[in-house]
Amino acid sequence: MTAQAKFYYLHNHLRSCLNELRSHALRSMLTTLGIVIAVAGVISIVAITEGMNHSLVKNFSQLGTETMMVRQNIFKAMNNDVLQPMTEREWFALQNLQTGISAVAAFSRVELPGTGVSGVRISYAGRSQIGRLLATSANLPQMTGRYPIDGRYFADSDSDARRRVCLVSEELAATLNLQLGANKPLLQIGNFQLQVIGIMPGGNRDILGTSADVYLPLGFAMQLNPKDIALEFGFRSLDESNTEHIKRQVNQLLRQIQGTRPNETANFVIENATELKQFQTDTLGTIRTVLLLVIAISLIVGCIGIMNVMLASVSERTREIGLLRAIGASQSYIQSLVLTEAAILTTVGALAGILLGLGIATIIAAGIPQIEQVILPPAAVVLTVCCAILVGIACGALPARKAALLSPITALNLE
Amino acid sequence: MLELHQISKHYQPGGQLIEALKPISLTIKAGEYLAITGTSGSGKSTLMNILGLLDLPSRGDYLLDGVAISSMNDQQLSQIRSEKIGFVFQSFHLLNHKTALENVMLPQTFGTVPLSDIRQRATHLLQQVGLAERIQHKPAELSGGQRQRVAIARALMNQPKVLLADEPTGNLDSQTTLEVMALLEALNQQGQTLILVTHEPEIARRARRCLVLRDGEVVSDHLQRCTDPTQF
Ligand SMILES: Nc1ncnc2c1ncn2[C@@H]1O[C@H](COP(=O)(O)OP(=O)(O)O)[C@@H](O)[C@H]1O
Ligand SMILES: [Mg+2]
Repeated sequence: MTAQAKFYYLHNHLRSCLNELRSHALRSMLTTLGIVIAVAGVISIVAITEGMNHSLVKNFSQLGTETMMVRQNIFKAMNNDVLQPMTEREWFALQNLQTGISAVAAFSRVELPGTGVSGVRISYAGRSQIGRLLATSANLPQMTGRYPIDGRYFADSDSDARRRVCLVSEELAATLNLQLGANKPLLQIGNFQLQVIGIMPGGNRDILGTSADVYLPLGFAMQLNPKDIALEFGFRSLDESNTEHIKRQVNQLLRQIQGTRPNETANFVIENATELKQFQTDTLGTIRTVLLLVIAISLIVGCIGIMNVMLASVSERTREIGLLRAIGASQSYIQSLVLTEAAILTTVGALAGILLGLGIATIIAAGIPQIEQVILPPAAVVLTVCCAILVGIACGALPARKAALLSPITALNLE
Repeated sequence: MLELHQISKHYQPGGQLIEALKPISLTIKAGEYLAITGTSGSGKSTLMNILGLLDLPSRGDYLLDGVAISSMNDQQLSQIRSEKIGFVFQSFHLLNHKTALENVMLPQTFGTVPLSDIRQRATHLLQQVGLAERIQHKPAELSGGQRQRVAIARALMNQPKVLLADEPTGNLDSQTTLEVMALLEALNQQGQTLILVTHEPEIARRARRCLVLRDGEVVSDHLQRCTDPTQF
């Protein structure tokens, strides 16, 4: 066959398949539904977990391995135990600890009255946006490694003087069309007006919870709503080989200050950045594996569905296949016709599934603060489509063989 | 052009041997108009399926255009069916979800001809069988006679060496029977080899040569017209 003949052959072949699929549009759509759902599942899980992983890697590369965090032990609250929040008392004690640690940064989420799931309304010059607030000590940038891209971070004196100043995230500044000028812009949050003195990079999402839309000095935040402030701390160990010792000391100190009884669960957990990263990566991996397994099972179910529908469609088209054979179609042509149909169905299903999956992932990710963006690696797309084609061919194999082996005489004599 | 040497066919459903066709030798020349006739169950369709390569004989040699088909595989047999044989069936066997045009185009859709050329040829053939106005109609929108004419146009698509028609008028009334027969005979006039299977003496009598089968055996092979209807 010349190249041109080959082209026309393939063109005709493909058209025949598409015509066939189009003339049974509803059946074709139902056939692919299983694949669409399975692929959408795979894609959304990959996109979300990749996005999470991306945030993880980014945050931890800024942090450095020697960073340690003291956070609230939320599991204690979950177990219906009373969780005693950490306050300035614990912060001061930590700062006075005579071991090799850096200055201790303190921070806390701030919830004003009327704060919803995704935050509180923040307004500036006629525009407004819902966002999250974080009260921090002046030395937070040193701990996280994230510094203002414009203006300055607030100083201890701002906090001590209860000055109403704040920093906003780059994303919020863009949304509100806010720029730092000669006279500092005034931001409206709830009943308060705050002067913006700097802009922090990125958005309000990270794995550690040290990013927000608006950063406030702790001093002002405590004055606002002292009951809701629950401090968390971050610091660096100055002697990396000694992290275990530091951990023990911090643990002992905080338990003592909080008056925790010896067999009582602590109100806090101490996390080392490396451990934290490992733990989060492991958790992510486990979640991913479990979900993908579930999807794999649903994919198999989807396959059986396709095979079933294709078998039924071959039976339904017995007379047609007999006719094609009579007018010169070979067994291998009939076989490739059915296989191509199956492959087209699954490929289209996979493509639709990818779009659907991305949509689902974007919606889910919007509700998870730790995810900055969903990420779909091209390799995952290619792999999914290849898998789908293979699945299609595998599912089509049996029906295709059945179709090819139909005796044309018997098929034609059916009425 | 078609040569059969001691061709026979037997079936063995559940052990019991049925001789559908007893050894037959037969030569059919290009341009002939042959009727194969006989009562129901006499082996007409069996013979036609063998002639049309839809079925293989149990014994004997079959030469088509000088080529022995006994040693061919499915691919080669299909190729010959596609290139040299046109079928017309009693129940038309049109695809209901396709238009007349698409049905006629069908035999070339598994070949290497560009689609536009296929469409052009199919349109031309539909004009030739008098259905120029009906090319976009689905089979359900056509009368029996029109459907059979679509089927004839389809059979002509690949310019076959031989046109095989199995009871082509079996589902038609007497008026359309005459029209369809006239069409087939006109094609034969233009040189198309035509083999017609029918159990109706009036139809068989129109052919220039007539082969009468009874219980799988040839009981007469008139090189002239069938004259004596009592033969079968
Ligand atoms: N696939 C088959 N299996 C068994 N017997 C068959 C088969 N096909 C045809 N026969 C038998 O062969 C004989 C000839 O059949 P056929 O050629 O269809 O007759 P006609 O077309 O003249 O009516 C019949 O007795 C029929 O029962
Ligand atoms: Mg018959």
